Parts: sequence; C-alpha cells; structure tokens
Amino acid sequence: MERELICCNGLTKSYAGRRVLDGVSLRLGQNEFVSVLGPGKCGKTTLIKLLSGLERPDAGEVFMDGAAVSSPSPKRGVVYQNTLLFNWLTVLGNVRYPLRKLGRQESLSRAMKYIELMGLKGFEKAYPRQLSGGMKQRCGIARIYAMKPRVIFMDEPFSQLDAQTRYLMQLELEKIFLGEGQSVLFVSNNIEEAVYLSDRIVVLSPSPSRVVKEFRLDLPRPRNYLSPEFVRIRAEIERCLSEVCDG
Amino acid sequence: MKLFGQNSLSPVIGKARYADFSCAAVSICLFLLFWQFSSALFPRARLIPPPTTVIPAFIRSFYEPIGSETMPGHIFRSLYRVFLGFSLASVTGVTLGILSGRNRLANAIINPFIEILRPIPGIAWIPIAILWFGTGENGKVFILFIASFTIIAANTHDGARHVDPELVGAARMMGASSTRIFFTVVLPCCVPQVFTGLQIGLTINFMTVVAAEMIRSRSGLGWVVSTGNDSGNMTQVMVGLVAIGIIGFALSSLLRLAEKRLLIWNAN
Repeated sequence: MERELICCNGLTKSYAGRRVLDGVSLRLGQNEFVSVLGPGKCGKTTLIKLLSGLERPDAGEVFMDGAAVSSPSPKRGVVYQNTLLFNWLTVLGNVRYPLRKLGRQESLSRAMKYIELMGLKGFEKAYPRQLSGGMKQRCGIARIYAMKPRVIFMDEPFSQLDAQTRYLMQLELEKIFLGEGQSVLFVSNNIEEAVYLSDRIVVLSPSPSRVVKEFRLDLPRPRNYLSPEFVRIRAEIERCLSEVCDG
Repeated sequence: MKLFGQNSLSPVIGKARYADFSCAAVSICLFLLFWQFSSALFPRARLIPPPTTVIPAFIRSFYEPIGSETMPGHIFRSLYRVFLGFSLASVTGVTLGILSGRNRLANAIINPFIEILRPIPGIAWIPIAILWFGTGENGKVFILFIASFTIIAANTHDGARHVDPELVGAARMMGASSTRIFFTVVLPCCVPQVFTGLQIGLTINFMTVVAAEMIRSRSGLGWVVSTGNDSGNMTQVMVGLVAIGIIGFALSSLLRLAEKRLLIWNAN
C-alpha cells in the first residue's frame, strides 16, 4: 500500500436496536482500489454512509489523511446504487452541480470532458428520465469524477444493470481508474467484478458485520477473466464467502 | 475510448393528438345536433333555448352589452377577481406548505388550521366577507383566497415533506450549502405537488367566483347567469353557462401547459 488515505477503526452502527456493523476496521491507500464483498444485507451501504460522513457511527472513528471525518465533503465522492441524480437537471446540469465554485468556462469544459469520457456525448441536454439505467449510472459516475474527489465510494453501482452493460461498465471503470489514479472503495456483491477491478478485497460477515478476511490481488492489468490465477482467486473468495454465510 | 454507441433521443410524434382533436370536434357537433332536435321534441328540453338561439346570442354578447358590460368585460371582471384571490392564495399556501412540510414545530402550529379551514367551502364565508369588507371587490378576493389557500398549502406540504433525504445527502456530499440545497433540491422536489395544488385551487377559485358573483355583484360571469334567471331570460342564462364552461376549460389548459413547460423533466 502507498500512503494511507482513509482509515477507520471499530465502526459500529445500529438501526432501531438492530446492530448492522460490529467493529469494522479498514484502510484504503492512495491510488488503491479496494472492494468490499459481503452477503446480502451485511451493512455495506451503511459502511459507505459512515465512511463518507453522511452518518455518524455509534462507536469507532473514520479518518481521512489523519483528520477525523464528521460530515460529508466533496473530497469524498459517492456513487450510489440508485444513482440519485437530480431529475430536474439535465445530464450537463447534474455533472456541473458540484462544480459551482469553478469558473463558468472551466466547469463547463470539465463537465464536458467527463460526459464524453463516459460515452454520454450528445445527451448533455437530456433529462435523467430519458436515459437508460446504464446511462444514468454513467452520468452518476461522471458527476463524481468531475468533482475530482480524493476518494470515491461506490455502492454497488452496477447492480441494477444487465450483464452486458455491466461488463462494459467494468472495463470503462478500470480505464478511468488507471487513467485518473483515484482511490476507490467499491462495494459489491459480485465476486468476478471485484476480482477484475481490485487491488485488495475485504470480505465482511453477515450482519452484524465485521471484517473476516482480506485478499491481496497482484494480477497484472487488464485482467483476464479466464486466466488460471483469476479463476483460482475467484474460487478462493467464493469459498470464503460461503463459509462466512454458513458459519 | 468509445464503448457506448450514440443514438438520438426518440422523437415525439403528434399524429395521435390530431386524431383525438377531430374526435372531440365530432362529438361536440353531435351533441349540439342532439340538443337542437330534443328542444324541438321533448317538453322539458323545450324550456331551454336551442343552440341556434344560444350560439348567436353568445356571439352577440361580445358587442352588445349585458347590463353595464359586454361579454369580454364580464370575463375580465371575473378573471381579475380570480387572479387577485388566487395569487394571494398561492403565495400564502406555498409558503405555509413548505414551512409546515419542512419544520415539525411549524407543522404542529399550522396544520390544524389548514385541516379545519379546508372543508369549509368559500361561499360559506360570504356572510363574514360582507361583514368585514362590505359588498365590494375586497370581499370577493377574501372569499377566493380562503377557498383555495388551504388546498394549495396541503399539497405543497405533502411535496415538501416527502423530499428524499438521500437526495439531500447527495447534495451535501457534493458540497452544497443548506441555502443552495433548499433552492436546488427541496424546492424542485415540491414543484409537482405544488402544481397539483395550484390546479385544484384554480378550479375551486373559478367555481367560487361564479357563485360569489351570483349572490352579490354588478358584473362578472356569475352575475350574467343570475340576472338572466331573475328576468326569466333563459338565453342569457345559457350564454353565461357557455362562457363559464369555455373560460374554465381555457384556464385549466393554460395551467397544464405551464406545468408541461416547467416540469419537462418529470415523467408524463
């Protein structure tokens, strides 16, 4: 791991008396892509809410660059599972939303750059309801990348897409990740996707969740889904997850 | 780096709309024919003048005054009253609705009044309106205001209350201040419900102004109907009714058009 960027210790959170997270500790380095895998409802979304500062933990702390995190900030971008685009703004309006502090010209050119990068050129003036699921998700990603956060949290961003679009999005995401050199914490329930994208994979137990295992992946990129190492590590993680679910 | 193809947004085709329009025109013509013949055939229908009397009288009313005004004058009088009452009601209703929808304490204070005032029809306030404002214009504006601001407030309240907290969270994550969040997230989220409230409020206001004019007035569409009745002039009554129907329809179409323009982002 290079320099440490995000670090959390013993994160615990309950909703209405039900404990969701039970002492989760994680580390995310600069330019690192870490995936969090876990069964069904194991509090992955909650983990992102705590890490990004949208909600406070009952116990434990989150640090970014050594400073405690207590509220959301544009330094920590979140790509949501259900996109959470603003329906009353066009694609361009959505991508420019976080760029208000930049000058008019600069915000426009930066927004256009990421719209183009995500293959949405020609749709700048479209409203979210006119877009397909995959396009909405790409718009949500463009919005966060344009914001240039220090770290991006992705909450199952591809879970509502069909297999083909999902695959294309994985390729696209890896390209952007390698090109921009951002730190990403990626929450998923898809092992293959996580193995394809991640430098490291953290496996959570069912709720109340804690970290059960960590995998380091040193496969060269771009990875081949069918290479023996890929298949081996995939099987290993699969075994680990099913043990976690049974035990 | 182009993994995704580019297709254009699907164009909107207006052919079906044209067919709808011609069907409506045909059915109205058929109804007029039916009215014409039945007023010659059935005794009860004979009490009402046929279209061949009403339509020319309606056209005549645009240059020959009924009472002190021609028809455009009466329409203007009624619409001006609606405009005043409705504007007051909209500003008050939207403000109260947003306050009560976003703030618990404000809701506890405002909501009981809204809910108790809401079922009272505007014309039930006529005695109080006369007592406070006499029989002039102010009394009518008061009646219109009180008839519709509650429904506008109630709808706005619903919208303001159900703003998705996750959307607000997303805006905070992108660095928006609370003022910016209010104007760029909370308000747009309420707009569809505000429009529903305005739509209902305007309909209520138009019905109320006619009723109020029938009781105490010297002009307006309601006055045309009631003086027609007083003098046994059924043609004038019918002319008044036709005008009320057409203007009411035009008003709600206008608001729907405004909604379509403003809410282009909202599905359907």
